[in-house]
Amino acid sequence: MKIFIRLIQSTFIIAALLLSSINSQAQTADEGAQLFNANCTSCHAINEKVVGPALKGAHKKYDEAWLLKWVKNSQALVKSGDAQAVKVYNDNNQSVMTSFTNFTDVQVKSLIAYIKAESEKPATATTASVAGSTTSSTMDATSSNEGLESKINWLIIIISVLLIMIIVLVFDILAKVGDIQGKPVIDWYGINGFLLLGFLVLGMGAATWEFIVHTPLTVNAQTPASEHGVIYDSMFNITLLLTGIVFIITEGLLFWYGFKYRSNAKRKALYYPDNHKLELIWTIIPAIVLTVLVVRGLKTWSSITDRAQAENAQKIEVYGYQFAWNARYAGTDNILGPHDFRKIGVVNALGVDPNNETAKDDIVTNELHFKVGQPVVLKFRAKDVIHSAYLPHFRVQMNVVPGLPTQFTFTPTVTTAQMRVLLGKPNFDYILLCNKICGSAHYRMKMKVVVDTQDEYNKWLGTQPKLASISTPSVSDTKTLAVK
Amino acid sequence: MSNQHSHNDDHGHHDAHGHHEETFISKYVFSMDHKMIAKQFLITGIIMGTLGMAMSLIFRLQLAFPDMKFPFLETILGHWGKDGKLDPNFYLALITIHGTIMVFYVLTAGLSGTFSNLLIPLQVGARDMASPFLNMLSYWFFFMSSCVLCVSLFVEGGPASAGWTVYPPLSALPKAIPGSGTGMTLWLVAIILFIASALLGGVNYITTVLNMRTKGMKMTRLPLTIWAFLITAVLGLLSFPVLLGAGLLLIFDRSFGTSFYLADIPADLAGGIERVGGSPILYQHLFWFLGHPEVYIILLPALGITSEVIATQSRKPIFGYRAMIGSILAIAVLSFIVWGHHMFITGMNPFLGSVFVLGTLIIAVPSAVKTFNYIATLWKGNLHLTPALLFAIGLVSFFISGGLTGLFLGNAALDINLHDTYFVVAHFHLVMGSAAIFGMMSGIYHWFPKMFGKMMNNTLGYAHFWLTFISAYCVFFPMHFMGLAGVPRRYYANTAYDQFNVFVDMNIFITIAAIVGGIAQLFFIYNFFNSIIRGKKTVQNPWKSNTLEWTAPVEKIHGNWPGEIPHVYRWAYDYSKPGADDDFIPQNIPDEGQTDPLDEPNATVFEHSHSHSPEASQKEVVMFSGLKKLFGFAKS
Amino acid sequence: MIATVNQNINTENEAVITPKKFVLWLLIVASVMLFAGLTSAYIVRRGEGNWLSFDLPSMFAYTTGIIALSSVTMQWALISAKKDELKNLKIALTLTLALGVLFGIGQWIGWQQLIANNIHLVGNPSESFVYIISGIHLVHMLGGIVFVLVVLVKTLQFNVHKKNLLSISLCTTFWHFLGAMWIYLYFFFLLNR
Repeated sequence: MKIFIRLIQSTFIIAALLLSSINSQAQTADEGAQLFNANCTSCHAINEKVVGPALKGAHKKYDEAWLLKWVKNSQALVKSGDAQAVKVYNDNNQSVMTSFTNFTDVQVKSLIAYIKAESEKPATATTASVAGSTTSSTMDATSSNEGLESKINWLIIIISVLLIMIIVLVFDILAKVGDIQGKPVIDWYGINGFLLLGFLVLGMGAATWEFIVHTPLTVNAQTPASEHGVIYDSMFNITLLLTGIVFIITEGLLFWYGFKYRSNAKRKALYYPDNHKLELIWTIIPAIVLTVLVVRGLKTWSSITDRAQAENAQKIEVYGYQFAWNARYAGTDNILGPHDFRKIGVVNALGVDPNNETAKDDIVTNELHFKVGQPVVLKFRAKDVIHSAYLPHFRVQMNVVPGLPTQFTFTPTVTTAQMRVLLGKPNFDYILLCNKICGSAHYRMKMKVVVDTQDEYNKWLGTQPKLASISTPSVSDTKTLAVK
Repeated sequence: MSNQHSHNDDHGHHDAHGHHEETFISKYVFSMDHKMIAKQFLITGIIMGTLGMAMSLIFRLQLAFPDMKFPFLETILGHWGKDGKLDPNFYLALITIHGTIMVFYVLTAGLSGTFSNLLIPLQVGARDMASPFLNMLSYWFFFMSSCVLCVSLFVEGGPASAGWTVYPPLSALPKAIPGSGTGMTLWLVAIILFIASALLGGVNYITTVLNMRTKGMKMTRLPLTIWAFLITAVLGLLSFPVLLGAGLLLIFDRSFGTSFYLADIPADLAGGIERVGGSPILYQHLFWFLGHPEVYIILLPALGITSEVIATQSRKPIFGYRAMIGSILAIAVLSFIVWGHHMFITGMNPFLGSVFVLGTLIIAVPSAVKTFNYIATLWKGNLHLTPALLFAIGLVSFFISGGLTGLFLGNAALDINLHDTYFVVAHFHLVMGSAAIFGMMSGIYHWFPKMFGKMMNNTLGYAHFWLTFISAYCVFFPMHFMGLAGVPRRYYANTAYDQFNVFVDMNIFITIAAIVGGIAQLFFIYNFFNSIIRGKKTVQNPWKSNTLEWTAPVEKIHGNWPGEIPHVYRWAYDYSKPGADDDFIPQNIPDEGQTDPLDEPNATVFEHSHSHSPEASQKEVVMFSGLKKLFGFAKS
Repeated sequence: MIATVNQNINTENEAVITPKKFVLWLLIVASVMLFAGLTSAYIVRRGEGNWLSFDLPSMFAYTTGIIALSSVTMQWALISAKKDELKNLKIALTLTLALGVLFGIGQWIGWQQLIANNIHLVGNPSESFVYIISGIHLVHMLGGIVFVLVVLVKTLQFNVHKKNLLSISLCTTFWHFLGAMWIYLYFFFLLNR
């Protein structure tokens, strides 16, 4: 995060130098937009409450001096007994807002300018631009229709409930008539037998329909973006085939027998308590099928987790914390500098030892870039609680545990550009998601993943600042801790 | 038992526990009678279940309509639902408490607590539990535990929100999320009380089954329900103490500054004490050592009830009685060595992972045997499709659907991309959630006459079944596809992800199905309480069942039977036995010439039907040839 | 298998004896599982390294002796009860009680020794484990002491004798379990420092 802010600071200075102050208002808002997207979107949006409150009109509601204090360290403000701060804190169920002690006044002001600019835009446009990075415009279109649709749905629900109640009532009356007459009017066993058969037919139909319609939406229907993804998918398909066969046979028999042997006046059950041969057969058959699955599965598992692969792989550290991700590249020496959780502060977010030689060429980013065809080993580290790094398109997932380093080795094979063509989606991006419950903004904790060609990769990495270029003011670290 | 009424007036003399005068308090509140305790467990379970279900509907609404406002949320949730929007923190609280309630309070206590209490003394032929006092304590610990959990809903910061598995550090750092404060402490207190309840109940069940069977009730004559309850209690006895240990260590980490589960946590996150040297994964090992047997603690009683209901209502002996017992035992033993399959992606040693894969997939064999035996029991039966049997069939269906997806998740390699996605949610809601709930419902419909002396309304029962069955499939089947698309579980909304937005319609569909399912449960609740009050009076043995509980009079008395406890002369499954007058022979009826209960009943009738019935052997051949083909195919 | 036949009300009271002992054994099994869980957590954690090794307090050796001795006196009490030697029974039970209390005090002193040795509850898990496992055992021990007290009171009321051995035999079983558990824990700590 520190790096990013530095980056923004430097671009800000360059921009200020180059453009002087021709369009200073708009420029500030642009800086604010960048800051906002990098630091705030995991908890805030302009028009809607996300984890934190909606920020629309915040520039009018609170004065600038107060906002400056609040953004930099809201907890200090709350503890000082500031009435407004306490109110905001309590209104938001006492969720603690992350402190941004390292923001300069200019940066916070640019954020406020951005909020002001966004608040004054017409509503629809604002939503699109705020959520622009991830939420597609089609989503907005569907969501505006939802209100209407759901009303219709509610109506359908109410009507069907009433209908069911009436049916129940009718049947109940018929049953009572039967009681009075002394012989049942309704053949319950017959009705339910047919319903079981109907459920089998309709259910199998619906399941088939689902497979046809929804399979294309799954990642399994897409080309896997990694080398081991191919064997993963073939293992998946074998399992699907075998379980599918068993599913159809057993469910089919279950409901068919339910229908066929429904009781009637003539039926007599067969006394048939045991057949050892039969039982032996249906113990052995599953055992054989499972042996196939176990052998195949273990082969796949051991080839994916083979630790020897990690030797020639490029090391990238993935760092998770509430509620964002960072990546750290080893730089030219291909050695990630050592880290210590005691050095973690607001400025040195990753706790990397700034004085270590190997750390100086390290590069910290908040996007994850891979070279296509280059084996990578992701080294996972967490700051606070357990997270899980999940890259569904690569068939990669590993828990990210504080104090317990984990890793995953794989080879990306499809570049982002190629995948966009394959899927026919020009805006497609790979993602890394958090997949272990970690708090309120868990559902927004993600990082963009890009698979580059060699050239693209070098170009991108070249624009990222090295750790050494940003001296770490250890004073501010201690200050942060003292404040907390 | 025909002269039972004449015995009724002196039943006080048969009361082993000296309750000659009964006040309201001693009869309904601090009752030591196992039948009353069973009802207490059931009704508390139903109340908790309603609460858990209501919670699920609230978060389903959020998932289906993340952009819509529901003003009623502010009315019921207060500041957690400000402006009709569910707070993300409270969303996590809801899923956590929903899971906790359903797993522990409904499907462990509500299911096993109810039916173990009701059926163990009645089906083995005992006057009450081995220790009625411990049994009462067991319920009251459970009750206190429920109360503590409910109280935690109202504390500042909200109830526990770390997921029902409460993994540290999220649960160990009171400042990590609002729900990890007081709410988490109360959650732990509630679970410790719950463990006390489960252990007290468990020792009672085991002791009663092993020591207090009536004459002639050999272990091989026990109904399968009792076998299931017995093994369930053993599983609980061996696994709950380990959870207790895990919980105690967590409490010390939270409140006393130790670091069993905490590593490299800076002091400012951890209440001023720097935490080094612990292992978050250690907690997961301890938790899942309980957690996996817990799955079978939930499922086995449901399967036991299903065995009983399917046999009774099909008017057929359960197919492969010994194989059923064997598979219960195999499942129980294996359940202790497979916990690691919940942790494939915690960075465990890949070899250790392989061991857990092997164990996990082996457990599918006894499960498959049980399924096939159920289907074989239905085959050529005389199916009385009562609501109880329909729910039992529903259970088998869910058990198949959910069990098969377990083969994906149990395979470590496939788990990489499916772990913690909606695929998992679909899997365990089918195989453990829906299946166990259906087992419980089947049991309620079947033994309601025994519990309350009244019949339930059939029509409402059928409506309840079909609505619940269809809506459960509509809710959970589509979730598989969301999981395959990589949608993670426990997400407050998926709107931030392009590739998940394609599931907007599906989410709405699921929520509607869930609401329909919820309404169906109202049918049940109405039917349940209405039938208690106004139901038709039942006859003593309404299902023409063989087991001992139906030989006890409808009027509930202390000590269960007036006069002598019936002796047992046969197994519980002599339905439609050739040569018999009726299509059932209760366990307490001796065969001609069978004087000592310990003798085997007249075997010739059995032999005759088994080997020489032309119809049977013909069908056998047909079934065989089909299977042989399959077998040959698999071999080649 | 002990098939109890509840034929009529008069035999039922006798039949209840076995189940009570059985319940106790099952509770002991549960307790063993608790300690098994904790000690396996200890082993697993120890295997991960970063483990502080330290000497157990000398007092723990003495308390181990005390609890072993108390098992002997408890057994003596049971034998005396079986022989209806009420005087010996009272002496033996009082001795057991005293030794039990002494054990508790000894554990407390042991903890003080640990603290003097700069081994604290809050610190490396190896330190915390010793406190918590011995603490949980002490909680069990308190239960045992109350149990012995109850039996002693019953004895003084002449309710424990040859024909009424249930409470004292249950108490003996539980007491031996407590002793065996501590001896196991002591050697476990000693061998897995």
